[in-house]
Amino acid sequence: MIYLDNAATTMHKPQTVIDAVVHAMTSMGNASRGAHTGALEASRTIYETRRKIAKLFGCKRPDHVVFTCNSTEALNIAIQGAIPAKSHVITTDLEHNSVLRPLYRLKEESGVCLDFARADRQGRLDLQELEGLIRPDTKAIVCTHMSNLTGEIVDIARIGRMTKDRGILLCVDASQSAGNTPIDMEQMGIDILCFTGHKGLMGPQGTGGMCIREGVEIHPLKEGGSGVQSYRHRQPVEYPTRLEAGTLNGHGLAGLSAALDYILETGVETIGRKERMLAEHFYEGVSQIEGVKVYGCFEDKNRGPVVALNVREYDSSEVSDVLSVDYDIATRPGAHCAPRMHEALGTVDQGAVRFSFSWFNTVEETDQAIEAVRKIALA
Amino acid sequence: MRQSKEFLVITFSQTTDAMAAELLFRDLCVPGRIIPIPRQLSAGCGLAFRTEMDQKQQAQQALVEAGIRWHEMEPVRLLV
Repeated sequence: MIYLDNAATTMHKPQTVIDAVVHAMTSMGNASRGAHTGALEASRTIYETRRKIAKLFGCKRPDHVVFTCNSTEALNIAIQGAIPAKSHVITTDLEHNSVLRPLYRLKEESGVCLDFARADRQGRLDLQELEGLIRPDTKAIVCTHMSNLTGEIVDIARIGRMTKDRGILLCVDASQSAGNTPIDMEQMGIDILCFTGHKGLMGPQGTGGMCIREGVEIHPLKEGGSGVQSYRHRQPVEYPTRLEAGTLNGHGLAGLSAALDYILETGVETIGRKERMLAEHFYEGVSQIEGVKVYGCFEDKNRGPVVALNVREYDSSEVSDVLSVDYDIATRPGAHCAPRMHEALGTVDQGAVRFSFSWFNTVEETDQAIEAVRKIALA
Repeated sequence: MRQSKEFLVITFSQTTDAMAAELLFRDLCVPGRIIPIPRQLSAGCGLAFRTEMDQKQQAQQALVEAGIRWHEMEPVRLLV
């Protein structure tokens, strides 16, 4: 199979990740539950993973790295736990449902007023327009770093400069950019960075989390076992325990730890450069095929390794199905959990076939995908 | 242009039901396979089961007997 659905999850993981999970499943106890060898191995492994995440994202304190099942859970904790009722919040048309749905919930249940920075027909944001939406009662901007549909990158550092002196919380969804695009929370002015472990970070599914700037208060979504302060009635107030009730996915986090070693050794910029090269090569191939429409802006080379397209008037689901059945190429069709972006691009009815590239893809695979699209368009 | 053919397409409101139907149809030798949901039936995302047009009665009866919920069961022209 030629796997080009890496924006959904990376299927090809470094062997060290697989080995680390297997090792963890034969040696790890429950982190923070006792001091026997197995429990301590789990505690140490998870703490090391926090340190590596903090290093990767420029988070000052490893104890402010909180682990969750995925970025959706992290975004729910952040959005529901840090945004006050009846406040004003700004978000964008680029967002995934993991941002939109928690915000719509706050709007319906907590009287939060929501404004959207609009995307144009190429899926680009106008950050001047976004700044114009800021009001005296604006409490948060929740924004993706990279569109999962077009690979458009948002200039988070510029938004960080808008929020910094205004006391506005900046919460960033790095689901698509983590691992392929440099992120530095301090330099970019990010207050809460939500990430997933199984996409560009190349770790196991069921891992993810958030990095929290010191001083940012988040009310816990869950309360429960913590392994510390057992006689307290409520969840301990210190991060990360404050947001980590229940047993963590220690086995998965051991795999994520190995994946982070791989990324830190290889270099995020090196990984991103190769993935972007593949996406650009693919774009150059398919954009010349008659009947193929590619979405997004490719003038800016600083973009994610994603190319979304349609072939003639064919249903994107059917094109993706033909790619899978006839060519053994894995892509994602339809709506990509980003409804407002589909509206902006004009693809609500047809959806789009998304090709997304990873560190482990090759130029040869990319050429085969171009040829497959050519045949579908000509047939 | 590519050829198309009419199939019976069964849609579900959640992936769990599609997976249950796939297992059921495999056990009962109902021909077909899982496909991405065609836009004629739903703008969005999700899974559907594609089978031959003459399988409607058997498929419907099997789903009812197994208590598996489906959303739509419609003829749809699809690329082949």
